[in-house]
Amino acid sequence: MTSIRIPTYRLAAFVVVVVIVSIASVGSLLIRNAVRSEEHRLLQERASEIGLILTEAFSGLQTQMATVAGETQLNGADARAFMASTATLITAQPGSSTVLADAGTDPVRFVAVIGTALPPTAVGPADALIRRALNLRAEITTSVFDEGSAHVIGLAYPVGVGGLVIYRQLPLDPSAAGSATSGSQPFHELTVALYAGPTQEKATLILTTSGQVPLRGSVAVASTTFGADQWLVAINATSPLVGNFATNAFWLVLVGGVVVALALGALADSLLRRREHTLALVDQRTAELRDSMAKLELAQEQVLRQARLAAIGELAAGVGHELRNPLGVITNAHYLLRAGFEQQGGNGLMRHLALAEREVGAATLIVGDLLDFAGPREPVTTPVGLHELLDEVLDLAAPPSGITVDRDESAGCSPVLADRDQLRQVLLNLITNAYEAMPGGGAVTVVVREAPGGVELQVTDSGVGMDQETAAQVFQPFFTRKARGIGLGLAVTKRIIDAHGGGISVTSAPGVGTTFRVDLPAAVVGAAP
Amino acid sequence: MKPTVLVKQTVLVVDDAAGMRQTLVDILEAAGYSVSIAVDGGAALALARGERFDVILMDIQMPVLTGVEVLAALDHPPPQIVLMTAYALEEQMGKARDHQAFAILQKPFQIARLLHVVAEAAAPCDGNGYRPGLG
Repeated sequence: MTSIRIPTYRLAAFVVVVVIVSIASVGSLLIRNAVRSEEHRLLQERASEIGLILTEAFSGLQTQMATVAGETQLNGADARAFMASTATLITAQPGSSTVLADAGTDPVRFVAVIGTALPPTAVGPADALIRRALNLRAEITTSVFDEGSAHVIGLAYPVGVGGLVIYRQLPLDPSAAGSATSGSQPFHELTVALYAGPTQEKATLILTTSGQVPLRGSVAVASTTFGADQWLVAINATSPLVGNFATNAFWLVLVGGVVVALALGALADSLLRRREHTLALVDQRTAELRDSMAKLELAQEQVLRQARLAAIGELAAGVGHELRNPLGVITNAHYLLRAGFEQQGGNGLMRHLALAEREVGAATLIVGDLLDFAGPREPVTTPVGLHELLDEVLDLAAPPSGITVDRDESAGCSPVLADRDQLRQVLLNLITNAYEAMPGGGAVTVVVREAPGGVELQVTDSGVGMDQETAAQVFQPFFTRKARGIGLGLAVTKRIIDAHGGGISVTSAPGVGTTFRVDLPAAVVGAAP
Repeated sequence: MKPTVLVKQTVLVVDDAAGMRQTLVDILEAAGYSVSIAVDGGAALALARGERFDVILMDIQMPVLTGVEVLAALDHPPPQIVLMTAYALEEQMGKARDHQAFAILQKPFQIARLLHVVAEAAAPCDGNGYRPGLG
């Protein structure tokens, strides 16, 4: 499963976008709720206003009916007089009837009818309405019902004489009102439904400006009093009362918030990315600086080390120079002593003398190393036979008692191209090192043989050996584990071998012994003088 | 190469180190030479101008005058001069060769080699009064 690493700056930008969009969403919801609440409040206000206006209008209607009733009462409920007065008081509408009904009979009998002819007696809802009006004195009462195929509204008002009641019946076409769309009309922005009852029942619908009843959406209702009855007016708005801007403000906030969030997110992304880039650059520069400082420190260390080595070299040169004179004197004195002892035949003294001569040889080797280290010179090469040189070295540095030297030169080899004095210094160093590695005695094995491109020389001792850490350091100047010596022999040896274009390596195991292997380039055949 | 009994060949040993002077005198006298000594370059120059030596065996690093400076001063006629040095500078070695030092020996040296070089230097010279040096 692979994991995709999202950069920190992108995550941060995403968080910015989410936070701002959340704030914008909450804000837009609050605005929308506030706008809805205000819209509803306004709608309710309108409904109440319409309710009041209708109550006013209906009271006018009751007054008209009361007037007709009064006239009829004055005329002694005379049918002819009723018809005459009513005709002046009530404008006949198409399909409407105004009736003087007598509820004292059963069924109710229509005494006089103006307008559209009705059957002689009332039936069903009209009968009930007229009887109800008789019971409710001085109050108009209404009922909406179907008569035959017609949908009608009936209004009834008691005359106050006997069982007489003024009854009007009008055909109803609730949708005939149409929708009031003219901007100049009051309430033009509303859709209205008026019910002749306290609830929005379709059967009691008197008029509506909407094709759909009951009204849908945000609807406000208000009661209106029609005589003894409670009617209901329901409205909703064709366009927002608070205005389109307020209605859509929440969209503006939401969309604006999203746009701002995206813009800020992009800005944050860009800034944070730049910041990350800058930080990375700072890190890189810091690392480079640290690296430079480390290099500088190393260089400084090397300079110090070289200065120290130079100082040591200078000292070594002085000491070497001063030591060579006394060593020369001692060598000369040994010569004179040996001549004297040979004449006198002092064998015991000769042993001591040999010891002294060996020690002078060792001191001379150290001085040679010191001077070579202090002032290395380029090798002046000639073809040199390793076997002969080995003879000379073993003559100068004879093995101490308890140590044997085995030479394996059966293979034979061609001369090497070398500076004879320097190569002798190398062999003296390797041989005396081998001796010193075997304080309890042992064997030194020297192998000289041909190798690809040159000659290989191996000096192996069966001495104390070294661990890896020690072996890795033996060629460093002034490194020594020996009781005596200044630690320059192998450093000078390596320097000389390197200057000859050869190589030197060491393998060692503690308690087993050490082998130094030297590779030297062979002298070109025919170059020998 | 052995010197004759009647006429000993003369060697002037010049070294500021007393031990070196003394052992060289003993070794050379045992080898049959008549040996004189000088303790520095100035004394050596004075002696060599007043007396003829077959061989002058002289250290290079010395007070007053160095061995190379004495060599340069004694250029004509040239005695056979063998120089010794514990640690000579390249410059001094070059100058010594320029002034035809017979040989330059590095201390400490094998006595056999010393006697060989001195004997060679003391041997009668050819018609030109000069033989190529050994060192």
